[in-house]
Amino acid sequence: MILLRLTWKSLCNRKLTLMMMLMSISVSVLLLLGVDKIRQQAKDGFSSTVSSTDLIVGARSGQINLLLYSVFHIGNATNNISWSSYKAISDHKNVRWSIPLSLGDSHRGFRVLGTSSDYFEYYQYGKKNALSFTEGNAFNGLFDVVIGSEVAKKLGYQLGSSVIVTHGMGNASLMNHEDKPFKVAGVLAATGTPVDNTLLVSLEGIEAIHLDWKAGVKLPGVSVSAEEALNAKLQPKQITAFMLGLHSRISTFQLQRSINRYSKELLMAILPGLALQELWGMFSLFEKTLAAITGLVVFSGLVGLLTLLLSGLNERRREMAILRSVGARPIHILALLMLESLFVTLISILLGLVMLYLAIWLGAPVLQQEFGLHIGLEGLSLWQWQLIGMVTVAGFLVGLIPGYRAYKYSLADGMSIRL
Amino acid sequence: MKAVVKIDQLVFSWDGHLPCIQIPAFELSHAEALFIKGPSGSGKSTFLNLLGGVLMPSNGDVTVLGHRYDDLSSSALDRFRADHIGFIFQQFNLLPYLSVIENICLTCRFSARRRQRALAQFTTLELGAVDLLERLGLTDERLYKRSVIELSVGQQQRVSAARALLGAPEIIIADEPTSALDPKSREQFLDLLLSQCNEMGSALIFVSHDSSLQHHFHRILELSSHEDGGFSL
Repeated sequence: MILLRLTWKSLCNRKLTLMMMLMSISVSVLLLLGVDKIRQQAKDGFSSTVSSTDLIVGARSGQINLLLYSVFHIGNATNNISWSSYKAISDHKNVRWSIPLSLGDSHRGFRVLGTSSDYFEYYQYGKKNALSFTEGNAFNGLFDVVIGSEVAKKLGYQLGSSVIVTHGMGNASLMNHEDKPFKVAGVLAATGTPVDNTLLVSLEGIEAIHLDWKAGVKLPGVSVSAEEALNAKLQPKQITAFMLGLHSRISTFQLQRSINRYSKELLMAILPGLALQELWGMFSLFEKTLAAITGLVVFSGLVGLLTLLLSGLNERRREMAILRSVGARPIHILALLMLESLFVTLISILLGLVMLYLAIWLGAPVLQQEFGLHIGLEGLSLWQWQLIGMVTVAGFLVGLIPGYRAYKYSLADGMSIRL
Repeated sequence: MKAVVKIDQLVFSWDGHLPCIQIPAFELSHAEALFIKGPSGSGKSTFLNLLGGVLMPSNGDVTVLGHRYDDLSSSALDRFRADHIGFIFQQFNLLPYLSVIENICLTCRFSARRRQRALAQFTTLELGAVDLLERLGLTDERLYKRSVIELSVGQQQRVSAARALLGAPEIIIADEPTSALDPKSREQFLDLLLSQCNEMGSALIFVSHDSSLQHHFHRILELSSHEDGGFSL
């Protein structure tokens, strides 16, 4: 008890050193936990880029490939799938809802996705969040387009802005569908998913701009005006992929098997959660690098603490000698130094936590609004508690080094008080 | 009366070189006030360190209260010292971050024996500290809760004396405790220290180069040059 009191009072007597020690450890604790929270959030956010979708179906290729083009709109499908296959599978009794996806066109570098209005009803991301509009609403007319938040911000589009779709992914203006411009009917709120970078139109709209096209080339001498297109029969013949929501999760694997064995066309169904996890696995290097960096930050914080403890030691020789003369044994001196570094570490961890939650509390609305990143004020994960435990033990052990030196000093100096 | 400290054929030298101190025979009786004088560099502090068991003699032995220091392990020696010896040094005896009262009680926090003795005498350590301060002439209660750095040197030395006396150790070792005081407060301090040692039944070994103080003491010894080199008592 007396040792605790002495440690505490002695620390309070050296306020400047104490503050510097607290700073060096609490900032590294803040970084350690902050980076881990962001890493965890990035992983969670990534793994829930799509949620409550049970299966994604596309032409047979690899699971990552299908995930990349259907969800992240990266790369291209090896093949399209026929409308009849889509109809047949989405009419299956276990299917609750289906969202067709048609990719291939773009607008100034952003992907244009042809889909149905079910997209706005059933597509979910994160913790089962539905899409919401900051302005306008879903597409109604043939030439309505809904834009993601990032598209709106980068291109400065508002409701009513005119959008000309480019054929393919190129930025070159060679093959624009300029005869049939779209009009912005709605702007989506930020989600932190690829939806933010997407323009959404109806399947019929995609069909309409390709009426006078064949195999990716505009038919020479044939021209269908926008007015004519409005009255044309716009039944899609092909789509790129589709998403399925099932009545019961239990039937997922059964349906997946039967889609994979579908006889009329080579199809593949994937479970998005599993595929996303596999894809995240590719970022393990990124995770390891982050962990290494924060590890180094903590290490340098501890080195800072050690430096301060050691440099203070010489000035404290008198204090140690006084303690020896009133009956403290060298082991008490060792304990005093170790307690000191333990105290500093514990207070620093508390401070670091306060700073962390303050930062989250202040920063969360901005992150949510600007990046669609959701970081909650929830408690620490088991791993984060373990990190704290490791820092505490490390801080305690750091005290061993000055403690041992002080122990040696006090044996050598004895009672004599050196000035 | 039985000797509190007994030294027999003691020789001390640093690293086996020429002897630094030789003490053929030395005894200190119960409650005796002993003055040891010697010029600076005559090994006064070395002698005190030998008495306190901080240094071990090269030859001969030190026996305190019937315990031979040779027979005690270093941690047992630490405990023994905390239980039976009070120290007063020249200056800067006190921890600046503790109050006057806390500084005085410190010895009793590290020694259970002295704590029990102090409690038997005063019921609480704080009361004991106040009582000793009053007897040593520090009656202003406002001083007690203050930080020790606000005290004058003379006041600080009285606080150190109170700390050495609390729990009534058998031996008080004082190493030039008055050298930083002016002549008037020097006499006053010495009077108070001696009367309190007498009352507590503690033997006092007082080391100083200032022989003007020696008339206060029962016995006077001098560390003088020895023909083999070094000093002897």
